[in-house]
Amino acid sequence: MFKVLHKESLTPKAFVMEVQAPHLASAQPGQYAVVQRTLESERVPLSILETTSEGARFLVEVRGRSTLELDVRLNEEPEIAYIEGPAGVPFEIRNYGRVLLISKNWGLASLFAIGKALNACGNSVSALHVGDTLENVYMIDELQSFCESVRVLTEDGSLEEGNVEIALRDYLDSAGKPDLVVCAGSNLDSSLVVDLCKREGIEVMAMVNTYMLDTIGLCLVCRVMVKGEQKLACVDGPWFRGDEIEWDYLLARENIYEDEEKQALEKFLKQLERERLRSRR
Amino acid sequence: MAKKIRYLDRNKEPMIEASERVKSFREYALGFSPNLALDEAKRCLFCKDAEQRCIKGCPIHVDIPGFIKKITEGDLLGAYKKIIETDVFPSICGRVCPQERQCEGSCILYYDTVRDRKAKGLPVSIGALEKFVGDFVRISGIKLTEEKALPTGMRVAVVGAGPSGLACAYDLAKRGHEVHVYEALPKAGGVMRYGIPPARLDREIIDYEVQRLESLGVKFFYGHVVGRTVSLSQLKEDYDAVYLSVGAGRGKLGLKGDHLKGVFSAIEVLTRVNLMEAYRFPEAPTPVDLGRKVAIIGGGFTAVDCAITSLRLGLETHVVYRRTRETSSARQEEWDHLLEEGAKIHWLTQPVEVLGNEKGEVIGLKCIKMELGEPDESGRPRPVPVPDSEHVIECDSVIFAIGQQANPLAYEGILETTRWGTVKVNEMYQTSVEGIFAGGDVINGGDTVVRSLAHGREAAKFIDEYLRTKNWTFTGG
Ligand code: FES
Repeated sequence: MFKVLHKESLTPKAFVMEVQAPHLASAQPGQYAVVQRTLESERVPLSILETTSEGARFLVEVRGRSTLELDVRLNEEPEIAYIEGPAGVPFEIRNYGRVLLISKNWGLASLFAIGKALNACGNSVSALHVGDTLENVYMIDELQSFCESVRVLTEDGSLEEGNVEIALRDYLDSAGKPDLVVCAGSNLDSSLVVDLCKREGIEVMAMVNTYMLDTIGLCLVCRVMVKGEQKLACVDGPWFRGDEIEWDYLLARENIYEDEEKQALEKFLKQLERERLRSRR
Repeated sequence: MAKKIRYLDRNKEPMIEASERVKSFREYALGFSPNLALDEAKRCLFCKDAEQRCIKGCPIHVDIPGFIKKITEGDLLGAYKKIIETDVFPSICGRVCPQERQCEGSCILYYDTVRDRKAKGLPVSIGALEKFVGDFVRISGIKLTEEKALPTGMRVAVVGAGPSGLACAYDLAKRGHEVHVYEALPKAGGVMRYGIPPARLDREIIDYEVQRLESLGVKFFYGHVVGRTVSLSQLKEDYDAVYLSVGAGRGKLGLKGDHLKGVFSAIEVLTRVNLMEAYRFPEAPTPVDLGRKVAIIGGGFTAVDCAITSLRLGLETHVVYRRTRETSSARQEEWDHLLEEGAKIHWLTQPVEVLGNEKGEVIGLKCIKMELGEPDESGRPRPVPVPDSEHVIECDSVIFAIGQQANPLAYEGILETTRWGTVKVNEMYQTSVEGIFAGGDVINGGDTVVRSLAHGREAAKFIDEYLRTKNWTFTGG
């Protein structure tokens, strides 16, 4: 059992938590962990926001059954049965020059540690964050603490309206080409960013978003095609050169379990509803 | 009066009816009752030269007549102790070993291995007897105190809690060493946990065996990915020796159309269902979606396990194998069971392409028929294509159960490997780095559970020796 030392809601859809898990202490920027609230829970990969003296912090966006389960159940009992990690290949931290981070929704969680480390080793870091709604906008203050400039948009217009493509174009117009773009949070949005970067001749690193199961390179559910070769997001990724990723392959496989996910969420919501009724009695 | 040889009256384990057993994942072979076991044990001739027969046929060399004798003497605890002298997990091996090609295949009632000729009977049901003994002790609640040497002060890390790692940990602990097992997944057992369906191996058994290890003082660290959480080199610094037993469990695809939605590695399907219990979806949150008809490619144990699984998910199940039943590495009786359960098995059928629709979903598996031709290097007749035999098996999903490949995550760049990506070792299980031993599938690429157990135990002996002498003889090559 791993203790959750701290949990705090950021928006109705997102929270940060700090867990006591000493084995995560060696995590480097770009790595993730796999969390199961109970041994029956689904295995949820979560980017590591930062390591702490006792373990690590995570930013979790509630997007389906398993993240909702974490949110609700951790309020009842701040314990996690299983945490695997750090997993994945660390992001290469070096001086690239000028770096632009582009995140969609929870993608910010994956960029945070990378941006911080890049800033610490002399890069000039800027960030563009796009949320679906205001509920997907969080941690902007912290982001500003290591970024030269931060711009936040939402797709529904609850904040300045826009999307990643518009944001990137505007940035290029006003600030010129960065030496590196790093993007995460949505395959579709990342693929648009990569397209634009390719056309402009900008180096881009992207995080692929795939289903994961064992997360140690056995099951192949996380397979992606990179430069014509099969790679595994869980052990070879999750970061790849954006221009080498076959985005169509990735996009075709990203919603295989969409129906089941809906069903699982509904089932869980029903269960929560029942629990609420019972406790009222 | 000479004892009458009971050639043919081999006892069968009681089984749940096929129509009933496909409805759930509970074990279908219910095991011998004490009376059946006793009667079966009495069929054994206790060959004086058993060393040349069943014991030789057993990869871990269990003293088979020895333990069966104990059964006939009414000493089941004695029988258990006899087995675990060599095989730590009788309940597991009794269930998952292909006995017909091992001990039972060399039982004198069935085959005279010394004169190399067929005998006229059926072998003693050694597997079922072994299972009975293991189960008896577990179910009886008898707590065996296993002897343990005084603490040596030496510490060993075992990487991977599959059969090989568990067996090695057991022996090292008994020899008085402090053993820490590092496992990435949330539970111990390796392929026995995520691969073999509970219908063949009840999870309580694995839990029981793991508890046995824990009570010997073995400590487990789950969620530790060696190669990421901690490197193999670091473990070598932190411990007096390391045993690497991470298996070779990476799935394999490889056919035109394998990018389609509905194509799975066997490992994915088995892990979803057997580890994450997707058969309880949506009560269990991890889903599996194989549609209504599934084609499983392969003819070994893994293919059988996939078929057991898909039948129990209620699917029309096809197994497609390019060779014949006789060349399959699975237990023959498993094929019979699958047929009873309604699987369609296509022998001598070579898949050539997974077919999909415009949405990129699997709609069928294109195959050609094969026939047996000239023998190949191994002496087995080589299957050759039958002209104009192309046909399509309609299905919504295709599972590749065509073997596994090495997963180098833990040892990449640290240990010398073979051209298959497995770890190079000498006959003492030593790798190219002093202090690091390796065994099980990580060195042989994919074999049986019992072979991995055997490696684990042998390696434990050499590790123990190394801890005392610090002799390292790996020379590479
Ligand atoms: S999650 Fe199974 S191989 Fe990557």
